Amino acid sequence: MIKKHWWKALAVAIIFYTIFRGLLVPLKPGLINVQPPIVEAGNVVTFQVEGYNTNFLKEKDRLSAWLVRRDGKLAPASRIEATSERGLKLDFDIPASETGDPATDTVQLVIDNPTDGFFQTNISRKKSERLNGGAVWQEQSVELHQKKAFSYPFMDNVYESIRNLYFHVPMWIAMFILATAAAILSVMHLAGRNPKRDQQVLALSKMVMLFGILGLITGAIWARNTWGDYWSNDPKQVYTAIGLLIYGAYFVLRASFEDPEKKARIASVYNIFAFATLPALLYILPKLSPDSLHPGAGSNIAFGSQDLDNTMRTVFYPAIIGWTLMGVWMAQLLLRVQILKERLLDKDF
Amino acid sequence: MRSMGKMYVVVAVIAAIFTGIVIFLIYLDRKIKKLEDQINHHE
Repeated sequence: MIKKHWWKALAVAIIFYTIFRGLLVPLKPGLINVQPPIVEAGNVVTFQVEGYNTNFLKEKDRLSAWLVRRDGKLAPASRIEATSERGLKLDFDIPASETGDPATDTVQLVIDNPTDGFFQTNISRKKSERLNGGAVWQEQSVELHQKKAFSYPFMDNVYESIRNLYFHVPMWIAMFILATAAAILSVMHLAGRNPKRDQQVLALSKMVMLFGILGLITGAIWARNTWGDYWSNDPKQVYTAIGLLIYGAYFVLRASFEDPEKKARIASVYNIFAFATLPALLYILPKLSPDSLHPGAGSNIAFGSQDLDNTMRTVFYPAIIGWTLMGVWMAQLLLRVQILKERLLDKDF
Repeated sequence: MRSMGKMYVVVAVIAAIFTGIVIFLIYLDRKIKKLEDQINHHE
């Protein structure tokens, strides 16, 4: 009993793990809002900083903040006040403009404390004639802290929904693995004409459709909350929808033949064709589109670089295995029902 | 704290996947029902 079914228990255990670990590990602290985003040189400015998952109050005596120019010279904050764990007031005496400064350039506001690590955000600096305060840019090296505890990356606009990576993306990858298995079984069916192979292809293809539709729906929910709309005609959304339609035609085609042998043969041929379109539609074409909102397309940042860090990998890869096993289990249930049905119709099956 | 940062999106996505599994169960339920009916007819 246990020998035969261990992989089903493994599938459930892995999915439990991804749900718990995926939801419980906190996000890295980050900055949600810094006002004002534009400052004038030579002015005294108070920045209002809004943080996320930060510990400003707890670290109120160990906070530091600087404005850093592109050449590395910096100006420290003249006063730092933590108004709450998530709120900061930073007073800066911004050094006056120097001859040769561009009309507008970018300086970085860097905030650091030992618990949260450091944050940086871009501030536009305008050239001005004012000479308030008399502060100057200093050549000084500072030590920045790194957040040590296990945590997921903080991404602007995405925030906690970065955890959807463990649920949305594995749907597609598990779908593709199951579609690969279905295509291989189709080839085996064409080579050996074993009707059981055809039934296996049918069961797996149903799971491909289910995971594909779930991939689209979960993607639409995520898109609504990050890109603004359930459907924004993103190349990946459009191409995957086309891919699912092509794949879905397999069932229509299969149902339109009476003769069981002809049905199985043509369905297998079509299944191989439908599978062959998937790599292009799911991966290559969206990646080539420069205007895709998905990560990794065109010049967008890929999940391979900063989004998918090593902490995320320890959940993301198991999630793929878990959902693939789950899909195989579900396909196997469908297969067993299909075979029983064939047996009732035809005692020789 | 965590609920502010679009955590509800993650909950919605997990609920959507669970709904998909429920639809699978309903589909399987109906298939098995048909089989049972067929067997009962034969007897």
